[in-house]
Amino acid sequence: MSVIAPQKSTPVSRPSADATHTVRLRTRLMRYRWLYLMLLPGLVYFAVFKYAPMYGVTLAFKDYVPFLGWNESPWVGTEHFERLFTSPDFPRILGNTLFLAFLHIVIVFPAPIVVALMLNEVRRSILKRMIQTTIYIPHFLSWTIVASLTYLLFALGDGPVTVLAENLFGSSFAFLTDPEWFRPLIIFQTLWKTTGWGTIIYLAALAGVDASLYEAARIDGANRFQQMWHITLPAIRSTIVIMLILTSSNLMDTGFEQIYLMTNSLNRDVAEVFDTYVYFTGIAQGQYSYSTAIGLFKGVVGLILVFGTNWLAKRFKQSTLF
Amino acid sequence: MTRTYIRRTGVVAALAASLVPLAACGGGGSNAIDEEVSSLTVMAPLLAGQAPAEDGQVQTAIEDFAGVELDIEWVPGANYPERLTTTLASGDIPALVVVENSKYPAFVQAAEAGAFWDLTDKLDDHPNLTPESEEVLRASAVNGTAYGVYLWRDPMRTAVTLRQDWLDNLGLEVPGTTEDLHEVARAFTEQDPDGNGQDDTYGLILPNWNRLGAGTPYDAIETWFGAPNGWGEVDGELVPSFTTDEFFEANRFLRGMVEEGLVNPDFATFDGANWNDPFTNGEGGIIIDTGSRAKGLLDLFRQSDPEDYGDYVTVTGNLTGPDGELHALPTPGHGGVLAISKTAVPTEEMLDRVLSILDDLSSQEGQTLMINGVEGTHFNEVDDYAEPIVESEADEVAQADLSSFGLLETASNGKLYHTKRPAGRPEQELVATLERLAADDLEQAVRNPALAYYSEVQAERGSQLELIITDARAKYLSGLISEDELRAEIDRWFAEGGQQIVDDINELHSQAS
Repeated sequence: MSVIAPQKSTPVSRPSADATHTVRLRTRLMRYRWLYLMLLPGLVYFAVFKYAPMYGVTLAFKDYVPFLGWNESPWVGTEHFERLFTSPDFPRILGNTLFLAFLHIVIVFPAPIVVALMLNEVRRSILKRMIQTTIYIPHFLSWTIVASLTYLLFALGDGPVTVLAENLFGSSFAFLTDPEWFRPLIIFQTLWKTTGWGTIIYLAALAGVDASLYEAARIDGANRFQQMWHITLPAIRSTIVIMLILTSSNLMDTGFEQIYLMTNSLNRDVAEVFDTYVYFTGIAQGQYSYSTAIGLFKGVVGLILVFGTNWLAKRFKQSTLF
Repeated sequence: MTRTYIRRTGVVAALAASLVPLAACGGGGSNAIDEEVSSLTVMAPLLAGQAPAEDGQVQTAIEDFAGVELDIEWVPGANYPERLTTTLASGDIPALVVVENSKYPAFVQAAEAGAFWDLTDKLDDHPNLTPESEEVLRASAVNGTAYGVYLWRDPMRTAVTLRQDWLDNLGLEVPGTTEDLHEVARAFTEQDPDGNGQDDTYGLILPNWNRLGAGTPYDAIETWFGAPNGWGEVDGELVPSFTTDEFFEANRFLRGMVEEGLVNPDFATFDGANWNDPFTNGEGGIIIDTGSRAKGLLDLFRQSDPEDYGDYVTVTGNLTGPDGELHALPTPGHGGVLAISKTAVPTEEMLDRVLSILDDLSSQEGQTLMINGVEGTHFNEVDDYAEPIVESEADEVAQADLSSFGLLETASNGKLYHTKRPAGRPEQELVATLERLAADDLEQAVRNPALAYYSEVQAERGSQLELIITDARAKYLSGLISEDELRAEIDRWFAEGGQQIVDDINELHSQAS
């Protein structure tokens, strides 16, 4: 079914090609005007709330003084970036951020997949639904509550977990202050809070797997593990890849609230990440330009990661975002 | 996906961008004041739950007294610094602005760019705005320039609060020296002060409120040992307190107490917001903080034991150090400044009029009205104290309003109002003791000479660098690092930018003197 009327087969000169193009565009716009109209609010939303504020990144190249305002504040070029990259804190903060990001990819990212696969194997649907509901609950608690719970459970001296660990291993544990324990605690908290909710998308993908494939495999003598490996995983592979690309975009966001609440004087060396650094140096001290520069740097790294992951996915012939 | 990405990366940018529409919606405020100054716009922090009503008793009485209408924007205290920045960015600045931290970079930048009147040479023209203390004026000013009238605060607040019943049970006296403090803390830990037969108490309750020169318990102990308060003068140069031997001596002392188990073991993570809990629960028996803490604790005990609540809390002031001398830790003496904006008060004539209004409000009559209220209606004068009248709901509202307006009172000419005295006998005794202690300690106050200076390096890098010291101190006290490692961290402070701060402060100091 052709929408557009057949072109006249005259030799095409530039202006007439443009004209034809305009005519085609107009025809299409008219034909699908209601669909385009429905698109409009979305476009306006992005333009107003997502693109217009991006003008704000110019702050990163200015020395912003609130009273002088946007236009009067002097341009300083890349001064804020130089300050960031030459800061003695920079290697440590970058290291901490990347290390947490790495742990996130290696431990936190696969966890919902594993749980979803396990749930998929549960036969009784009532049990499955009960487990699902239970593991969703932590998602609805704020980080403040998660941190308070952690403080109670892992408190030095009288926290239940601390007491248990001390009785089991016979040595004392300073979970909350020992730098060695900081990352395990953060990853543990993230797992506890996000894993259950993260399974939703994989369970949805799993629901779409053709049941006859399993049937055929069983006839061929495949066991449960082989079915999972050869049917289930390939079926949700594209979902996994897309989720990985999406995750990679905000790897540099280690979560301000969680880290901030778990940081103290004794573990700051491993705890300080870009998000908390921005807060302490930028927001708390009114250095808006410097914070913007850090935000922009994070954004650029995020962009590189998205394109990088996407490119990798493309190389390995997987479904990609763009 | 694009949406998520942009949202995450653009947070700061979006935050900054949001200032623009805000700037546009102020409008009209710059005409808030006419030539005769019949009304004044004010921006002030609100610490109470409810903002005073515009037509409330208190505001009406103040307006009648000052002969000017007040249009006050009360901003919740927690958001105040952000709101101040936004207001400065809008360019539409109220006539009077409370600035809680007169060295707040955005304020200093705005003032230097001409947003506020320089009052340095004007204050002396008004008898009630002439500063009581030249030193506090310098501390509230920006390198010698006063961009506002400072807000008077108690110059001496440091106090040690102890469990009176525990002292009585063990037959101990209130400590007078740091050595006594050690003894009492040890007895509170080891001798079962609550008599329940269990080893479930400790001495000193320390919070993780770990800053430098901010009136923390750590600052207090270091000062008692003879270390400077923040900065001190050594051979004509200003040096940070943590370079002095006394700083190390004080922290050796405190580390010893931690090792002996006389301090709460979780002091590095213990939130200062819960500071009262171990004291009232009977876990710990000593808090080094302010007199207000003692009053607050007494009030908590009154709620749990209305009969004998006076038996639980006792208080003493600064403690004598090992050198046998009393070095007392003062406050900066001010709670920021009340700045006058040039946008809302454009001419010198109007400025003089505004200053004379502030002058009236800082007279004895003005101070009493703003803080105690109207005599006979809001308070009764008893022995030079003000006893609040609270008989109805309206009285309670009026008292709450007064506490809000009290924060606006400059009183830089000295305290002329009446100290508030609560009803109960134990409270009255406590207030009297605190007044006496503060008056004695004030004579031995160790001043921070660097409070007068605003260094750009300090503003930019200071608080990040300060973490090096405070973290290292916490690690040293916990026994995680040795004294040599603590010294190495202090060297790192110098290497990573601290030296520039020291140079900057000393240059400002030599220019000033």
